[in-house]
Amino acid sequence: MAGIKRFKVRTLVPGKVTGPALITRERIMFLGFADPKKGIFHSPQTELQGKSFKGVVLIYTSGKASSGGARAIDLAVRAGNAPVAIVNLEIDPITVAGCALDDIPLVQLKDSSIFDQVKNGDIIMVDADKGEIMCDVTSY
Amino acid sequence: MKLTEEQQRILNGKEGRIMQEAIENLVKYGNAMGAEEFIPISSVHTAFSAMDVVALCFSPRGRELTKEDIDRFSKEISELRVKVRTTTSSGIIDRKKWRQMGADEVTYNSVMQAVEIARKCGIMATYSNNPHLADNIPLMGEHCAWAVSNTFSYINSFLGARSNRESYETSLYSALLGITPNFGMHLDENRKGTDLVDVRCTLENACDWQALGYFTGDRVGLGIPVFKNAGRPTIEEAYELCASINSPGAVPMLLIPGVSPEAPTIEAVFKGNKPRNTYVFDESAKRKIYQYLNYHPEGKVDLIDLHCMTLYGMKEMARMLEGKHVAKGTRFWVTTSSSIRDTAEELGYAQIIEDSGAELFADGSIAIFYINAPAKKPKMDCVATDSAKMAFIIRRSFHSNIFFGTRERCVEIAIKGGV
Repeated sequence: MAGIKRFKVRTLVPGKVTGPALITRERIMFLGFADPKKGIFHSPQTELQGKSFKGVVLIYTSGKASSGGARAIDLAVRAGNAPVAIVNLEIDPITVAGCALDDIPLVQLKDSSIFDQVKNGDIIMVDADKGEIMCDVTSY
Repeated sequence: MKLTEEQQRILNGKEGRIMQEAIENLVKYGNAMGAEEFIPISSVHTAFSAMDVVALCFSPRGRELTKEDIDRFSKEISELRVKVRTTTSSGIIDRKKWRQMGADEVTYNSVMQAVEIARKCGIMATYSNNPHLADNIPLMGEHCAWAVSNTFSYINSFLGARSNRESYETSLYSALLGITPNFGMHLDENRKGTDLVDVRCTLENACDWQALGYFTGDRVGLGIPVFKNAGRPTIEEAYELCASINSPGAVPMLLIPGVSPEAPTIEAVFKGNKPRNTYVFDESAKRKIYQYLNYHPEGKVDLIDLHCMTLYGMKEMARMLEGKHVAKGTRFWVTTSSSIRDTAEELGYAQIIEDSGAELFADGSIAIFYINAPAKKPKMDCVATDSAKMAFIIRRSFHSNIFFGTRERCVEIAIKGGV
């Protein structure tokens, strides 16, 4: 299988970036699941446990739980460990605050098909300005 | 977003750097959420626990803060006054019993500096996760900007006040400015049910209500669930429902027909729409949640951790503990706000609780203190709690075995020293 897959998105925080995908259908709480200083998910309560989120395009269903989520995103930015973009299916205002304040591109998917078509490590280009994300699947 | 002349003036820096950044960041946030304007608010619940943490809400961004950054910020914000009634969420340490918690002087001084600056800014440093019970009670239709997941859910659901799920950052900006971007829960059209939860078992106590909350949050995510046949919660059960639903979920509001002010009937709360999903919460579903939240709850229990006590909770705790003694080798923490502790002392409940060997703390969750503090943490191999939210947090943070059950059962465990 080869080529480029495209997904239409709604832009919340603009920007154009490229990075490897880190993807889960789960809802993620940044405060609690993530260690911002190390740039990894350290909680056993997420299937992303042990994975680094530094420099990735982080794709997940939505944020959840603590209103400290924006703070945790900010701490990751300050430690140089933030994702380059966040892609969500549903929009939690706390994730939005985290991304908007630190200018991390944030987009909302129109449907959940990406979860069947993209895997961890696939190269994703997020063009939030154009309302589109592209996945390069030529590598497999 | 469209700004008024006054807002534009603040954005242009006419009220200084802090106010300029506050409105700049709220504009970014509002634009991202599709808001077209700001609306005035009457109340805020935010965090203001220590200046090195509060300073993170402002520039410089993108790097660690230095001591100079924090000092400069502390001086600048001391000169500002919040525009609306503002309370603060649970803090880092008990301001009276910090030594007993194992906190060091540096932490204590940093907290007391925040208390003093909060006072200057007009922020009531209540350090409570129950502001809606005493210090900050918005009425129906009031626009608010509240952080802390259980509290905004409570005021939307049970008071009919209006707040989005705010972060610590955005709620502090809103306190300084007295405004919030107009979107989400502030708009009539969004205050309606999305999912139906059909309750087909009895809800006998606060833990059953939390099991319902956990079940629901996990399924509806960011939706607004409507509970059919749930009955009527007590004020404590209502609060715990809001806390537990926001562990697996991000629920801004829930509706119980006949209880929630905006839910006269089931039909009315869907405003002509069909629920997108219907979930059944029965005995079997309830049992599964208890099985999930209890994690090897066997043998000796090192610690019993009960949280966010109301004054009524303190009264009940005193009744249950009167003349009893906590087992040797078991610690029993009871946590509440300063104002409730003070009243409990006046009314004699605190004495009875402490005479039993239980330790009474205020201003914040002592378990959460040990997640970040440099203090030596107590033995927590097996912990009992009556809070689903804390069961989730303690298991994640300390890898403890967990007993989750009613307050009565937790007291029995404390006296016996084990499950």
